[in-house]
Amino acid sequence: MAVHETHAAPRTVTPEQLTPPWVVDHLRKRWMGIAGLATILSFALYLYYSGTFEGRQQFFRAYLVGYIFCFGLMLGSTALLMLQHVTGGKWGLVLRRQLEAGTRTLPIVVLLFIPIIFGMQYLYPWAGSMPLDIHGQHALNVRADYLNAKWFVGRAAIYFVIWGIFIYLLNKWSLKQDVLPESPEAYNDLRLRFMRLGGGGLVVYAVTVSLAAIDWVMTLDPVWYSTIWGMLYMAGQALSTMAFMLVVLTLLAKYEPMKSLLRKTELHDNGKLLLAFVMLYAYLSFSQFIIIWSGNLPEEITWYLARTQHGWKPVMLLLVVIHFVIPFLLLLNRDLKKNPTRLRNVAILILFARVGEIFWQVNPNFKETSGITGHFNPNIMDMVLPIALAAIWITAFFYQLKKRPLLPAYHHLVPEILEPSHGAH
Amino acid sequence: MASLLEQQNADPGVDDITQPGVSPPVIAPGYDFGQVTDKIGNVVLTKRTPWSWVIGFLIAFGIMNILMLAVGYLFIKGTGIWGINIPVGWGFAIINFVWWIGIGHAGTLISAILLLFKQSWRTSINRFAEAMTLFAVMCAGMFPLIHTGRPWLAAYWLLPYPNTMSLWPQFRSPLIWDVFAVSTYLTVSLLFWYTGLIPDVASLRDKAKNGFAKFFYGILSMGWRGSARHWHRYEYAYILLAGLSTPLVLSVHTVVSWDFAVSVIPGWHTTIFPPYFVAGAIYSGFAMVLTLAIPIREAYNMKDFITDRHLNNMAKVMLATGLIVGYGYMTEAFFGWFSANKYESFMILNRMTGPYAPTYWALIFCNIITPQFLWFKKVRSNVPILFIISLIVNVGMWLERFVIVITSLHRDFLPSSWGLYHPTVWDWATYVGTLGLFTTLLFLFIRVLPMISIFEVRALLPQSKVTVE
Repeated sequence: MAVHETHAAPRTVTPEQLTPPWVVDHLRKRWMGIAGLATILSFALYLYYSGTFEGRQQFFRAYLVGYIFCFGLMLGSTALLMLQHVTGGKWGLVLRRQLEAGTRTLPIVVLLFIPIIFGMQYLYPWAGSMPLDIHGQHALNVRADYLNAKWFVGRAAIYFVIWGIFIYLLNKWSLKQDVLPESPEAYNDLRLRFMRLGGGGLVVYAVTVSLAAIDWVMTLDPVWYSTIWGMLYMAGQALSTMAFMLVVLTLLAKYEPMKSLLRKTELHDNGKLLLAFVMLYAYLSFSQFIIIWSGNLPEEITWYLARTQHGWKPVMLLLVVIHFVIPFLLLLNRDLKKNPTRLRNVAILILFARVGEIFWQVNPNFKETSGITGHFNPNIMDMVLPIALAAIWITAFFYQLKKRPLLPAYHHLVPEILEPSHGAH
Repeated sequence: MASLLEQQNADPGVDDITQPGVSPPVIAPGYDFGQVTDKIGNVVLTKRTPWSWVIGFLIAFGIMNILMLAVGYLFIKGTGIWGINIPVGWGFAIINFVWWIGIGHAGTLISAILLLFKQSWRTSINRFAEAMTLFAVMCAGMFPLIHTGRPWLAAYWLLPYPNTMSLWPQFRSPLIWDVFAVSTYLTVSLLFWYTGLIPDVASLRDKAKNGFAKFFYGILSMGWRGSARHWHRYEYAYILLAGLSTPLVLSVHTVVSWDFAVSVIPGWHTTIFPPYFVAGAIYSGFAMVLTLAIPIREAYNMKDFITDRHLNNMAKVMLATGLIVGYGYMTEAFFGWFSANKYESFMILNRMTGPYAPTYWALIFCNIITPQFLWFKKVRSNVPILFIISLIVNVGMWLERFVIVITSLHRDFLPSSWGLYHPTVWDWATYVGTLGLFTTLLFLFIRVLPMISIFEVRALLPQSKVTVE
């Protein structure tokens, strides 16, 4: 660990001084209200629409969009947390407790998965009664042993158990950094354990998140496949999570204790990471597009055709602008990344773009029974359900955030954070 | 603009944490500024060329002459002397091109990305890693030129050169993007390397006794006087070049991967190729840096500057990128079945069980199984084993390109057009010859330029740690 020799006395802080501010509980109550209202409204809409197959399908489409977004926040938190344990660094330390709160929403995310099990037949061609052409039928015949209701639920359970083990350990060990370590050896031992857990965990994460993204989103299309899909989901989750955590971090920075703890350096570093994730996602997404576009094979290009025709083109172009162009250009600016309010505004825009991106991935898969193509035809549920799910998730997040001090007080980098920022270069 | 000095004083980030409380130093203790300059500078300024250098150089130069022979004969006879045929129209030339260009990526990653990430440990290895990049790109650049068989005509085929015959390259082909990507890469890498050299070359100019050396380094140092203004501009230029180089780490190998992926050949046309190629490039590049760093630090007694910590960190980067490459192989295998496309599944089965199966399994052994040992700190700190692993990974990454190119081409959609590819002695001579060219250039570099950045290492010494409040 890098210790500055010039320190007169090491600066320290106690866990009591790091108690989350009142605003966390206030926000939890606010979001609980929104979640309650939106959930009631969702139920009402379901009752209203459930008369027809399309109505029920519409409900579950909207539900899946919201679910994939919340799930991404939870699992993205886990991945970034493990990344931080592997690489170290102060950027992650200031986000650490927020990310941990994000991971502890796992039970809610598991509960929210249950409706998808019941709605499976409306969503996935392999589970349902949707008419399929010969290619779709062939693909599903080949994959029949893998893509079926029993295994879909079984695999989901396996993913959740695996993630649960990592999340449990990450949170359990983190508490040890809230008490004074017995000895430097014991502390380093803990750090090493974190590092190993993170390293191994990231490998397991990469495999499981790829399989989950294939199961839950890619198989909405009976034929289409793309080998980059897993990486696209890793980058997307990292982007959503970073944006969400920065919104919360800049909010907390208005109140003690973070008001005096969050320095421009760490804010700037995290802003740079946000920019990196914006670019990474755009890079992967564009790679997928250019390869499929130039190959122009019938089993692949149809995915993009469905997403650029029948009213979807403006949606796609809007996504290019709000998911990449605007955040990219704004985040290039150094001053913006150091300004909490402006950084938060960009992060909020990114969060909306993320929901939009998932919406654009999910919805063109569904063909109207009346016609053959999926028109861009948004329903009120497409707005209400993602809001309901996000609000439930955010409520759970703030509930968890309140439980622990905002920093692990005895982390070895805390003294460096307590040092004033070296000028605002 | 954060100053370089400040970045180097920042937290090293990836600490070695097995020794409680102390992180092993990036630079061994006990040096002052003058000793650093002498130790690195004397390798260049000494009058006595070590015998080991002369012998090594002669061997490398000899091997380079194999390349001269192979290319000379190629220009007389044409590409018929190679093993390429129909259906395998792309053979060693593209394999070696991709292999060499991939190796270059580690230099750029070390010099640019690790600088932006404030990883101060990069300082002792960036100079020769960048040199390695340049020489690797030169070796890579040879292949697109000579694979035409008539390189004096290649200007029409490779570059959009305005001519009365209205011959233009196909702008929608990634092959032409490649020409731009690689030449940009070479230019920016050269500028970056040279900019970093200027202060050091000026030190050599000031220390040199020999008149010719004074003159030579005097020209190269471009009037550097080390004034505050010079340093200010230098730092600005260096950070800007680092920013420019960073996208190149991704873009060059992404375009290389598109050379394959935009086609419709199973085994080439797959969306994971861009990130997977980039990771593979960095992976092979770090293997090559280790392959070079371990003997060099031994021969020139530079263990105090290229410490075990450097080797340890490089091994970690190798492990991480190796795992991404492994993820790529697993994805390919999974989708071979999941795609429900008989050509895709045949392609992957053919790789695993077809005529080239041994190369596939050798590649799995070299690239996936071998790096798993790097999880253990004992392996990462065992220099001979690390050296062997780096060699195995170098071989593995070459095999990977062989498997991708040959097994995808030799059996395509129509069984009637299937065939086999056997490299000829000229294929091997050209490949081995570029190894000679690469090593020759490296030997020359070590003899005439400081292989480690003198002034940046000085900034790492405890004496130069100042607090900026």
